[in-house]
Amino acid sequence: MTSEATLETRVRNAIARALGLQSTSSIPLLMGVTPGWDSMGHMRVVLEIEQELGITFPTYVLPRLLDVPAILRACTEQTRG
Amino acid sequence: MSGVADLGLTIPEELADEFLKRLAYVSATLTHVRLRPDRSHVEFEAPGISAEQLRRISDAMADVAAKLCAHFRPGLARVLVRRETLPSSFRADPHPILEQRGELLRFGPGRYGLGPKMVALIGALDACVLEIASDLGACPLAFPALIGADVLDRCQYFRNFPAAIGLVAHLREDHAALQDFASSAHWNGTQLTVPQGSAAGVQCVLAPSVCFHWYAGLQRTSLDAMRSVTACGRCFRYEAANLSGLERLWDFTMREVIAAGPAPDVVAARDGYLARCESLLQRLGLAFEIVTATDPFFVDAYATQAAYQRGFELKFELLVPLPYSGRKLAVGSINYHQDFFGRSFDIRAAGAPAHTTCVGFGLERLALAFLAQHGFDDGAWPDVVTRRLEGAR
Repeated sequence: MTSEATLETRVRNAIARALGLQSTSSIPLLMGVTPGWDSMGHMRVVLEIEQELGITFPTYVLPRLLDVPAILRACTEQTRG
Repeated sequence: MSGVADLGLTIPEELADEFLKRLAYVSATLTHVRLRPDRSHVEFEAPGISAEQLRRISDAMADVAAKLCAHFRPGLARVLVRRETLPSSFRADPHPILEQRGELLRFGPGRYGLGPKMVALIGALDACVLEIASDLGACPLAFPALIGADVLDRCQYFRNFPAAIGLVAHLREDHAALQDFASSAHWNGTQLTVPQGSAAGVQCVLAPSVCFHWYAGLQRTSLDAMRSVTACGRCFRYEAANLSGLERLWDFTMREVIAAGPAPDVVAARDGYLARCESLLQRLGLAFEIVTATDPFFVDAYATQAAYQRGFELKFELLVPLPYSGRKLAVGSINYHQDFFGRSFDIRAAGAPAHTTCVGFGLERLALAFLAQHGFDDGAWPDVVTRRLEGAR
C-alpha cells in the first residue's frame, strides 16, 4: 500500500471513529451528508484526525476540511510545514 | 486567606483574558485575582475560608486552565473594518456623571435603572438600529422575559453557558408551604432565606437572548422563503464578579434582527447586517472595529466550540473603544448559526434544515459607548441621534 493510500485509510478510519460509523466504504464522507457530520461532529472529526496523525490544524484551515480529498491536502500541507 | 494556584501549564497570551473572566465562577469568595506574568500561577484572596477550601479553589483554577487550553490552536481575530478617529476630546467615565445627574440608579451588581435622558438616548439609538430591520423587511415581534428551560435544553445552552443562567422558580401550590413561606421568608443581609422545599421545580429561566424565542416558535415548520423579524427584549446573563456598570449588566436590553431560511439567503442577510452595522456606527460618529469573535463558551466546551466558531467566522463583534479606560466594548454582534437552530428545532427550508442569523445590539452598552466617545454636549451629537431625541424632549 502506498503512503498516500495509507494516509487515506488512516483519515477514513479516524472519521469513522469520530462519527461512530461501522464502515466508511459504502457511504460518502463529507460534512453535511455523512450522518453525524454536522458542526459538532466536524470538531470530533478534526480532533480524531489530529490525534491520529499527531498534527494540529490552524483555525483558518477548519472550514476547508469538508471531505476526504480536502483533508488529505491539508494533512500533506501540515506535514510539509 | 491568600493563595497561589499552580496551573500546571502556561496560559497562552491570547487566552489570558478569557481565563481570568472564568475565574469569577470558581468561587464567590475570590477577590484580588491576578495572573502572574509567567501566566502559570494565579494569586488570589479568599477571606474567611479554610486551608481545604483554598486547596479546592486552586484545583478548580487548574481545571479551568487545563480545559480552556485543551486542543488550543492559535488564531488571531480578523478585523473587517476599523475606524480610529474619536468624535470628541471627551475622555471621562460617564458613570459618575450619569449617577450625579440622576440618570443612572444602581440597585445592585449588574442592575441599574435609568433616568429620562438615558431612556430617551436609548430610544433614539434603538430607532437607529430599527432602520436595519426596516431595510430588511423584518416584522416586529415581542417576546416574554421568561423562556422555557426546554427551549434552552434543546439548543444545548446549559452545556455551553451554564454560568450565565438565571433560574426562575415559583412557590409550590401548597397551602402549608405557602403559609410557611409567608411567615418565615426574609432577607438575611445577603440573600433571601426560604423554607426548604418552598420552590416548585424549574420550568423557566430568564431569557439570555431574544432570538431563541423565535426559533422555538418556528419549531417543526417549513419555510417557503427566508423570513426576517425584529424584537427588543430584556435579556439576562449572570456574570458574577465580572459585572461592571453599564459595560456588563446582569439585566439588559437587546434589540435583535433575526432571519431564518435557505442557507444562501441567510448568508446574504448576514452580509447585509455587516454592511448596515458598519454604516450605522459611522453615522453615529463612533470609532469602532468589526472583528471576528467567539462566544464565552463554558470551559468544558470552549476549545472545540470556539475553534469552530472562529474557523468558520460565525461571529463578528462590533467593538467600540472606551476612551476613559482604553478597553473596547462589544456593543453588538452578528452571528451566523449555519443549521444549528434549524436542526435543534426542526425548522426546514428548501428541503433541508433552515439556516439562521441574527444581529443584536446591547442598547445600554451602545448608549454608554456613545456617551464615552461623544460626551454629554448633545448640541455636538450627530443628527441621526438628535433628531430622534427631539420628540422626547
